[in-house]
Amino acid sequence: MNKLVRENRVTDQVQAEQFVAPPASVSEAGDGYTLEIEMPGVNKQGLDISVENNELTIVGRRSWSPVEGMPIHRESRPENFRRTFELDPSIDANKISAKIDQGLVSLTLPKAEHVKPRRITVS
Amino acid sequence: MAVVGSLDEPEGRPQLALRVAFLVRRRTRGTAFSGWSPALDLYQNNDNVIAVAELPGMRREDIQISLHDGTLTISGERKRESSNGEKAERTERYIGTFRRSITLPARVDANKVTATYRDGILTVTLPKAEEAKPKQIQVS
Repeated sequence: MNKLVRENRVTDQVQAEQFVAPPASVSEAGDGYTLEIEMPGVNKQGLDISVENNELTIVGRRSWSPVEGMPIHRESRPENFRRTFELDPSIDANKISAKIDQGLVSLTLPKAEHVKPRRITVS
Repeated sequence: MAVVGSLDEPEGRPQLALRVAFLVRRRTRGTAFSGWSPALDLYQNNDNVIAVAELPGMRREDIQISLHDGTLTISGERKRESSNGEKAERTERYIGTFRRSITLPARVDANKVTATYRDGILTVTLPKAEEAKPKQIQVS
C-alpha cells in the first residue's frame, strides 16, 4: 500500500522497438509527487504519456535533425526513450500533468483527495 | 515511505539506497572529476567541425564553452531546483558540475564559433580556419 510508483522492467523487454531507459528522479511533497525524466532531443511532439491498468508509461521519441557532416566520434545512442512505473493507489491518475523543457520531462502526480492529511475540527 | 522500487528487489529503504548508490557509481565510471559525463558527438564537413552534447534540463546561462589549443571544452553545472518541503525518494539524475574536453580534428576560427541549445541538445558549430579547409588545385 505504501508503494507509490514501481518500475516495471519486464514490459520493457517484450517491446519490439528498441528503447533505452533514461535516468529519472522522484521527489515527494505533501500533496503529491514529482517525477523527472531526462529525454534529450525529445520535444512536446515526440512525447507520449499514458496510464493503463495503473501503469504509467512515458515514451519519448527524438526529433531527429541530422548533422551535416561525417561522424568522427559518437557517444550518444540513437534509441528512443521509455520508462514504465506502477502507480500507487494514493495517486489520482486523472490529475497527472506533464511538461517538457529542454529535454527534461516533469510530471506532477497529485495524491487523491481522500488520502491527503486532513484536520478534523472538534466542535 | 518508499516511492519507487524495482519489482525484483525487496521492499524498503536500505535496498533503495543501495540501488541509488549503484546507479550513481555506474554513471561515474571513466570520469575522474565528475559524476556526470554527458554524451558528446563530433562531426566534420568541409567547412565546419560540429560538436553535439546531450545536456537535458539545463539553463543556457549554466553552460560554458571554451576553446584552447585546439581543444574544445564544454562544462557547466546543473543546480538543484529549490525544493521547499520536497523529499527526494529516488535520484538517478546527476546534480552538479560536468566537464568534457575533446581535441578538434582541424584548426578552427575561434571568433566564428556559434552554439545553439534546443530540446536539451547543445550544438556547437566551429568553422574551420581557411588553411584547414580542403582545396582544389587546378592543373594548368
